[in-house]
Amino acid sequence: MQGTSKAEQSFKPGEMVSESGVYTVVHDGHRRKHSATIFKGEKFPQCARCGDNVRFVLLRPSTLISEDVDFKQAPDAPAGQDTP
Amino acid sequence: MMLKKSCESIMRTVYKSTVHLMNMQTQRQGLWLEERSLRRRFPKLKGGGKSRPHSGEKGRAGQIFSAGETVKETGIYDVVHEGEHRSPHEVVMLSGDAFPPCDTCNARVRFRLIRTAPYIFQDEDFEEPE
Repeated sequence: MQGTSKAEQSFKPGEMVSESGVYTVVHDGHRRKHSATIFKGEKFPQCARCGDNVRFVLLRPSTLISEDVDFKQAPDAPAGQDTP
Repeated sequence: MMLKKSCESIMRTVYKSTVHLMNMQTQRQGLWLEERSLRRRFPKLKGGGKSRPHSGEKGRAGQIFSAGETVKETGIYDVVHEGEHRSPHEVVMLSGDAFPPCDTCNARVRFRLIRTAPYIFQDEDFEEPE
């Protein structure tokens, strides 16, 4: 990890993702930066072209729906089954 | 003496129930991680398709979705609950999943798109070889 503030931390391939959310992906020259959603618990991946030189910067952290206290029950249950 | 035995029995029951609930939660989380892993390997199964290079899409921000609808775009959504049981909050959703009902306000919960960003493993530069 590099950088000073949490928002500016950049992550390298192989590091564990500690926060889910939208990240800015910064490549090594071959492509403009772009955004991607990455989930907590995964590893930051290598780029197929710039390999380990790619960097990830957390743009907007967010919570996984499956970890939210109000969505613990049956995440794939069909809607429209309100309890009376 | 009887009272002590009763208390111990109740404590044991409470303990077992708590452990059971925790195990169920762990299993559910495990299933979710497994499904996500499958989607990494076979992105076209659900919510698949390679993404094109872009730098964030905000054009459709503000669109509202109901519980039960399918998530068309991976990204961050504002969750707006019915009534006052909870203030709006953000969650990240994966395309192909269904917007879930809230445990408290059920299908009256709404999801407002804030910003989309493709799942990293659906990006052409990060897809794993099949």
